[in-house]
Amino acid sequence: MSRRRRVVLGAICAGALLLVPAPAAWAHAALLRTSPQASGTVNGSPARVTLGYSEVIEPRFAIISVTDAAGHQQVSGSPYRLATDATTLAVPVRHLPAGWYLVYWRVISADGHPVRGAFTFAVGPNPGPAPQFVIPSLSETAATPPLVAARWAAFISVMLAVGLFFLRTVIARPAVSEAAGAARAVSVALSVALAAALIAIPAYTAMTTASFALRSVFDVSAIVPLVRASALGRAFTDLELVVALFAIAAAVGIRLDRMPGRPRSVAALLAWIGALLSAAAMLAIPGLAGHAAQTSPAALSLALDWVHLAAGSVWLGGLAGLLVFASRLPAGHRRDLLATVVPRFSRLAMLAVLALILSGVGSSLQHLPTLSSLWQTSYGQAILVKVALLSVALVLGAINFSRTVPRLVAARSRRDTGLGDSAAALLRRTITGELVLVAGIVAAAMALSSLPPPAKALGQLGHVDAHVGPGRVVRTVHRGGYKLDISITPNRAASPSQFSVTITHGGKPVTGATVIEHFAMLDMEMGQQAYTLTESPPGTYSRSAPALVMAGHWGLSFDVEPVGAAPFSVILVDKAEG
Amino acid sequence: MERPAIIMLAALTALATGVAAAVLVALLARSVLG
Repeated sequence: MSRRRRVVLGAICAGALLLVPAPAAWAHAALLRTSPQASGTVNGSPARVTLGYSEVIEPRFAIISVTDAAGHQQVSGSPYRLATDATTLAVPVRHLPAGWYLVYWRVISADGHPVRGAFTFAVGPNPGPAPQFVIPSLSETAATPPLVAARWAAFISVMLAVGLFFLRTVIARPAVSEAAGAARAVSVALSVALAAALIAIPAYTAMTTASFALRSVFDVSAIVPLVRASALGRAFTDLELVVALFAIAAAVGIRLDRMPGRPRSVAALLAWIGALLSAAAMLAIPGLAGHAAQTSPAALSLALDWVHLAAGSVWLGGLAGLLVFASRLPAGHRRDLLATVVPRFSRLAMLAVLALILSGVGSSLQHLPTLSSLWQTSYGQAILVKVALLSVALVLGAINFSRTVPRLVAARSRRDTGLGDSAAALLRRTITGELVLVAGIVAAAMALSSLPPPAKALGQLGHVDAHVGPGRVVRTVHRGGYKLDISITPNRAASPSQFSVTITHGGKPVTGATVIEHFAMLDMEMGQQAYTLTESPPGTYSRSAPALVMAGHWGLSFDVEPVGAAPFSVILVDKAEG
Repeated sequence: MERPAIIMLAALTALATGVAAAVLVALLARSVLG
């Protein structure tokens, strides 16, 4: 590795370390309004329950259940969209007698992620005490193994196709005239990748649509009409079309590029531009169907996503193509041709990896609200897995760069067959290793793009004074001369908890203060709730509320405004269980 | 048709295919981003 390259690598590593906390943008569907009001009491049975979201919701993929204390379903029809407001869903309910009801909902966000939540309401005038509802589990995600595997198959075949095309028409072009057989082998590999993509994309689309609609993937007659009802389904059917167009353009482009060693003819150049255009379009679709289009600023996140995918494709497809190309080279020319092609690929791969790392760091900065979410959330952990695999792949790449390439070049100039053969064998091993690692990185990326990024409430929370729960909480927090004894009983999801804080200053109770408690769900976007705590006895502020509407992590912020003194906040992260 | 004409026709088809793909994705982007 030359000194300059070492400096560049050092700069990349330093850049990766600058993963500082940044405000995250988030745009999963969030529940903004409900009727009846969450945790509220209505006099008389409502005819329907409505839920207003932050984005347009497809009612055919929505589940809304309304159950009474005994768990009996009270819904009398399917969810529908209000004619006046496409962001609001309604579900008709039976006549509800007085008592408490649990509304549990699950909708599909524009980027294809299921989002869920729950709230309770009571029908009066005398609903009685709120019961302990059984909360459905939070665990369903878009990251089930079959879905991630299907997504992986679709992505890896598309990336291979792009990279193989690039290798055949750009990187290996100078060697094609002497190695027509090897070039044909690369074209065959390209056809296989395209065929795999054309099968894997509709399979993945059908599987996601089936999971959105909670149907079997083999229930074809029910799924096919629903495919274009989701944003993800529309994008992936478009991807299938664009892959087919790329296949046509690439076939023509390769067929016309029959005069290697000479400049391309006008016709060959036109066809090649057409194929590159469709390849570029193809790589923009996953971003449009995923997190990138939902992250603000969308132009930046889409550009980063495109660069990331394009660089990954050139690297992955180039490695696979090089392996195929090297294995089919005529024995007499193998070393010379490798000495022509491998340095070209190596230089380009270096640039691709640079672009890959920079765009990856950029997206991470956009998506992660805090540095700690890198290891505390599964989204961050998936990024760490990618970084670890990439580091190993980089070591193999560096071996190629600093050992294999110079040996191949030296073997050609010295006509040293022994050196050339050993270099070619080393090349095959390192490229195979790199290829396996990159395929692993793509698998981690698929898990990553199937997981929701951490909620932005995590970034807004600020300094956390204590982590509490699950179960009853009794905790003392000291802050600026004040002592706060906080208790949460019983701290269970979906049942009312008693939130109480006793504030003393210098051993004396602090009376007459205003205490507001904010609740933010940290595992998913739900919107904030706030309650004013009432004082009784003096110095103790409390309230009983069914505020922890679902199991998971909650950010609890106690904003205290003492009379004639500076206000302050105490923040707890509370884990509530159902 | 002459051979050069066929070649040119094929090249223009490939170019049109690429442009069609780009337009399709631009339309998709417009519908997603609003």
